[in-house]
Amino acid sequence: MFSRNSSNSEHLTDDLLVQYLDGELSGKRAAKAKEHLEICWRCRGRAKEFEKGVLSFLQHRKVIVRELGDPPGGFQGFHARMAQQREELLALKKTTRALDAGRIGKLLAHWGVAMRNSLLPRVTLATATFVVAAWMLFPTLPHVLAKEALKRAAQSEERMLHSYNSPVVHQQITVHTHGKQARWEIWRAPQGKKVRTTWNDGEVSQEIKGIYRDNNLDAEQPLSASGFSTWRESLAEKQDRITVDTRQHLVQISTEAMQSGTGQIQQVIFTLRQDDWHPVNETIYVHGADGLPTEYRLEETSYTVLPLDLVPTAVFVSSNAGAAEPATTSSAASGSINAVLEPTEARLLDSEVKLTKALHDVGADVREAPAIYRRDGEIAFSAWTEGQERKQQLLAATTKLPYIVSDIRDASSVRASKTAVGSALPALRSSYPTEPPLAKALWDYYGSAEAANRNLSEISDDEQAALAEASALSRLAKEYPETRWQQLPAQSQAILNQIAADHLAAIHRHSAAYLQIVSPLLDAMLTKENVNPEVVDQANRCASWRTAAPLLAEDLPRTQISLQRLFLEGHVETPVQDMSSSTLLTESARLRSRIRAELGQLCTP
Amino acid sequence: MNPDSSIDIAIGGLLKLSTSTAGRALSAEQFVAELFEEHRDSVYKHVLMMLLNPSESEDVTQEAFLRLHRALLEEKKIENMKAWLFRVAHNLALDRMRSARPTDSLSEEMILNRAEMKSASLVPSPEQHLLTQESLRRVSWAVTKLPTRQRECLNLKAEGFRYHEIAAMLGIGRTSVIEHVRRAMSRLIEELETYV
Repeated sequence: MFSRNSSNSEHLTDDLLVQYLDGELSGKRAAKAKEHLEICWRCRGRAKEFEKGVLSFLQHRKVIVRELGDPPGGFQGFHARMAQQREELLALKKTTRALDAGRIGKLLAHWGVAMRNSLLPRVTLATATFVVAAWMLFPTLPHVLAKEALKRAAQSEERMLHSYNSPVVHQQITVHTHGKQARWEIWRAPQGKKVRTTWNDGEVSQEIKGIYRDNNLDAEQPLSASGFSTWRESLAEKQDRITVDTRQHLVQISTEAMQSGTGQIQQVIFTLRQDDWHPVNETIYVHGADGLPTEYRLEETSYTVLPLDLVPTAVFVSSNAGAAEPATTSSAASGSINAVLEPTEARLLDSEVKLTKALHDVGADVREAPAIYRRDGEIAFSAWTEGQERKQQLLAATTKLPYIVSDIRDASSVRASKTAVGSALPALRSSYPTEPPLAKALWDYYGSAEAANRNLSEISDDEQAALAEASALSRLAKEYPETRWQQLPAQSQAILNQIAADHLAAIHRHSAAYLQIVSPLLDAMLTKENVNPEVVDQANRCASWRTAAPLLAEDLPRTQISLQRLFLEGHVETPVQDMSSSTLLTESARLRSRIRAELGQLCTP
Repeated sequence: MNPDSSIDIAIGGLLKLSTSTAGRALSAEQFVAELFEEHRDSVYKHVLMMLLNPSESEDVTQEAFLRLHRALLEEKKIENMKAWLFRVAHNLALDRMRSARPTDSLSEEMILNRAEMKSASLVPSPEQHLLTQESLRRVSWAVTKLPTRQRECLNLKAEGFRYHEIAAMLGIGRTSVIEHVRRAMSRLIEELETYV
């Protein structure tokens, strides 16, 4: 501890002195040092020198800090940065929870099948259960790892394939590269090892095949989690980054490969849908001979798994079992596969009408109200179904049609992750309480509150049914305005007229029942309240369903609302200025007249 | 159940330095905000003394607190938050200096010139009487010439850290810290003695 000087007396070493002055010596040693300093001038002098050194250093610090001054930004923006960080981390955390709730999703799907109620309670129950269960079971999870996300995606792929004994995957991809787009279509039957691929661009096709071959990727399974995983695992060195797009509900895995050979993949950005971990997009950067990367963006436009017996027989005709032979087919080579015929406007129109008919035949135009639109020279339609069974029904009805890209989602299997992050359900609209002026009069009319309710339920059911049919017809009318209608061949017009006729029959049936109950009630109330609205029934002249249907679809709910305001206690969505019985009765009578007129105009085409 | 409640953390026992927050349950954000108010200046000074320019130093300071916030959200266990903060800030500053443009870090001449100019205008305190303008210039010069490790040790000591904390922050042994401090002090004393 002490150093021995020439006169054999002990002095404190500098090390010891520094520790003593800094209060770093233990009690015993500190006491010994202190004792020594009290009697030793030399060591006390040395201590003073050290103190002086400390002071000078502090002075130096002070000057530097003063000179350089305060932070130029005044530490502004820190709280905002912190809040942003919190949001990002929470979003990531929630995604992770959703990720690990796959088994809960399974459970919910099971319940969804078991339940026979309407969609809303099912989804609500699933949502609520998921939120609670996910929160309770997975309160603290590590960050999403690329491997884990890909595992989920692969499981999701597997699940889809297990829907049938002999599943066939039909995948359509648009490849964006060199400033152009190429279409790639794959029919794949994993069990029979049959594959048929078609391209509309031979050049891009050759390039993609080369890249897939050189990088040990499976060209028969492009844009698949297992394919991406195989490539990712094969890399000696890689760097992953995961980003979550909470707005669009996408998870993006970016894997950078530390390799730089010509033709080698430099980076892949793999995008998964957060709903079901299905890959929808893949951007591949490949090292070019000039050292610059070439970008290939694979965008999935449709992915369907269907049973083999629903697949057009011509699909696998040219491929041999056990020997997958991807063929770049031309229109001529495609034979009876309509999907590869050049999509002219006439063919597209024809296909669109056939799709409309197919959806109508299974009642989808009323139940699911699918949206039909054009996309990249194809006809796309999207719909939400109540269950897997219904989804398959829609697929089966539409899969053989050419140029059709379907996006059908099963609402019962949708995980509640969207709701968990608070973005799926729209905010509740404000509502206003009503005091129905004729509630008591209604009970008297029917004899009791129970009878009144029973009749109101019937009114409501028939009104809803008429409205659903009128809405479907109205949508159809809007799909085919006059100019478009005129482009249709007579055969297509006939098909659409037949669909309209079906709707009209249903509208007349339900409206008649509706009016049968409402009319006597309304007349009795008009008499009782002594209200005489000046309503002139319009002459019934047949009009085109394409002009009359939209008006009816608008007036039916209005009538229902005015009846609700008259007789039902509760809330309405719009504020009511005048809730007097005479005003409401006048309004209802006027609407009844309009509905009668509109129904009169809706003659069978 | 509010998902945000997951970031609530019990601060008591985790933190030694902050008396104002000890024992209370705060959200990570509130906690870091309080800590930021309390310690941002010291962290900033420390980074500034590593010869990073004020703008960069400010950014590094904020970044260090954001890292702390993130670590708390990720429920990482941090024994000594102040030491942790300084270590992170220190490493961030080193990273910045490695990739710095010439304007990001300060030259020794610049510091000396500024110190010299500044010392002329300082109102001397009783302690400052001990140091003349020339001695300050010499000390400043000597400080800038100290090996980085020695300067780091002195700076951290000036922030009130114990040797073992400095050792943990810099990833060296406690004995090495003592040695660095001793050598640095000897060098400064030598410079002062030469002048006298």
